[in-house]
Amino acid sequence: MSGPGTAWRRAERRLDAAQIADEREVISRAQRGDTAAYGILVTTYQHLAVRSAWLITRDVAEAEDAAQEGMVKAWRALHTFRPDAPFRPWLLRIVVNEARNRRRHHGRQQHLLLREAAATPVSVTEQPAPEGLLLAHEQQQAVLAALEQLREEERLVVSYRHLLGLSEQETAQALSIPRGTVKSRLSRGLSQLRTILTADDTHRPTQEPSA
Amino acid sequence: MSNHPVDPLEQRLHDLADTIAWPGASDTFVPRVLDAIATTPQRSSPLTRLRPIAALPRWSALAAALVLGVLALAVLLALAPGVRTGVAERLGLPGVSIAPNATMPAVPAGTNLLLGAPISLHDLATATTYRPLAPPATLDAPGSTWLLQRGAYQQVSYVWQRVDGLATPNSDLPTLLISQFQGTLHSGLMGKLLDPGTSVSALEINGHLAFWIEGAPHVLFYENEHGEYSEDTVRLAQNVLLWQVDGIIVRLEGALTREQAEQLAAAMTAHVAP
Repeated sequence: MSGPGTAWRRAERRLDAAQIADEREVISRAQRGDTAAYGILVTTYQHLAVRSAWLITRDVAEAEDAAQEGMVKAWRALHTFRPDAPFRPWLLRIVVNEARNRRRHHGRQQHLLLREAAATPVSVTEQPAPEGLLLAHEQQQAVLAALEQLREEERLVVSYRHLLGLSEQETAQALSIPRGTVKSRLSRGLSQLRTILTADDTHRPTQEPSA
Repeated sequence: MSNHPVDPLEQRLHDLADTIAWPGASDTFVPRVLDAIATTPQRSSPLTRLRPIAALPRWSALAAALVLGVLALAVLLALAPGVRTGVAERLGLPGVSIAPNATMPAVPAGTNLLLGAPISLHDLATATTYRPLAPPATLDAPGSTWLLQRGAYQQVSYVWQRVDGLATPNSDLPTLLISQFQGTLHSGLMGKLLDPGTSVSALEINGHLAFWIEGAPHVLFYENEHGEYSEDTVRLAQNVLLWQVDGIIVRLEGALTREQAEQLAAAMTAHVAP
C-alpha cells in the first residue's frame, strides 16, 4: 500500500474557511450521536491516523488497529471535544496514545521503517516525473537512513512536523508535549540530521570519471 | 511578499515526504470503525443530554450511503457480479457510492454520457415512476432531455451545451449536465472513485444535505443490471454537486464553481408536472 504523496498532502491541507465550517457542522452532528456524520470524519482522517500511528508502531497492521481503536475511543470521548478547537490534532492525540500503548504491549521494533514509494501514478491527472525521482533518489535514501538514526523523541517530532506536515502546535498536541519541547526537539533533530548527512557526504567515495 | 529563507534540510524533508511509501488505511477501515461505534455508546456530557433531540439530521440517508459506499465499492469490485447486488442491498445503498483515495481504473478516450434515449420534458412525468425535479427555474429550457431505463432504474438527464455565464469545458462534455434518479433503487448503481486530488465538502441545498466534489477530475461509473461495469460505463467527470430531495438523488455536473452550482441547485424546487 503506497501513499499518494504530493496529492494526498495537498488534499489533507486544503482546509479553507468553508471546509472548516463544514467540518464543524459535521462534528456537531457527530457529537449529537450521528454515526453517519462521524463516518465522514473517519473517512477524512483515516490515512493520516494510520500514518501517525505507523511512525510509532513501525508495523502497518498494528498501526491500522491502533488508528481504528483510536477512532472508536474518540467517538466515545467526543463530548469532551470543544467545538472551537481544531479537530485533527485532538483526534491524532488519541490515536498516538493508542499506538504507544500497543507498542508498549507488543514490544515490537522494526528497522528501516521508511522507504521510498515505487514511482506509480498517483492519479489520473498527476504523474510523477521519473527524471526528478531518479536524480533525487540517492539524496532521499540518505535522509531516510539519517532519520532512522535519531532517537525516537526527535525522530517523531521531525517526522510529524516535516513528513506528515503538521504544524508545531498540532505536533505538540498530537504527541502530548509542550510546544516548547517540540521546538527544542525539532532543533536538536535537524541539527543531528545535518551532522549525519555531512559525515555521509564526507565518507562517500568520489567517483572517478571514466576514460 | 515574505521572503523567508528555506532551510535546505527542511526542503529535503518536505520533498522526501512526497516519495515515502506511506501505508494507507485499508478498504475495511471505515466500515470497521462504523461497525464498532454502532455498538459503542457515546458518552454524553450533561449539556449534551439537555439538548433537544428533535434537531437530529434528516440528511442521514445520503450521508450514510456515502460513508457506507467506501465499504460497498471495495466489496462490490472484489466480489463476483452475482453477489454484488446482494451486498449493496444489505448495506442499504440508495444507489450511489463514493470511494475516496481509490485506485483509478483506465478511463477510455471519448465520452459516453450514458444518457439513454431523448425524451420531451412534457413526456417525462408519464414515462417515469417517480416525479423528477424540473430544470432550474433560472435557466432556459435544457437543450435536450434524456431518459435512461435499465430495469427498474430510471435516470432523467437535462443537457445544456451552452449556458450564459458558465464556462464551456475543454472536452466534449456538455457545459451543464443535471441527472437524477430514485435513490432507493439498487439496480443501475452509480459509483464515484475519487483520487486524493479531489475534495469533497458537505453543504446544504434548500435544507437538504449536499456534497460538492471538486478538484481533479474523478471517475464516474455505472453498473449494469448484473452488477458489472465495463469500459464504456466509465468516464471522467467534472466538478459535481450531489444532493437528495425526497428520495431522488440529483447530480449536477459542469465546469462550474461551487457558488454557481449551489445557485442552480437552489433553483430546482419544482417537480415535473404530469
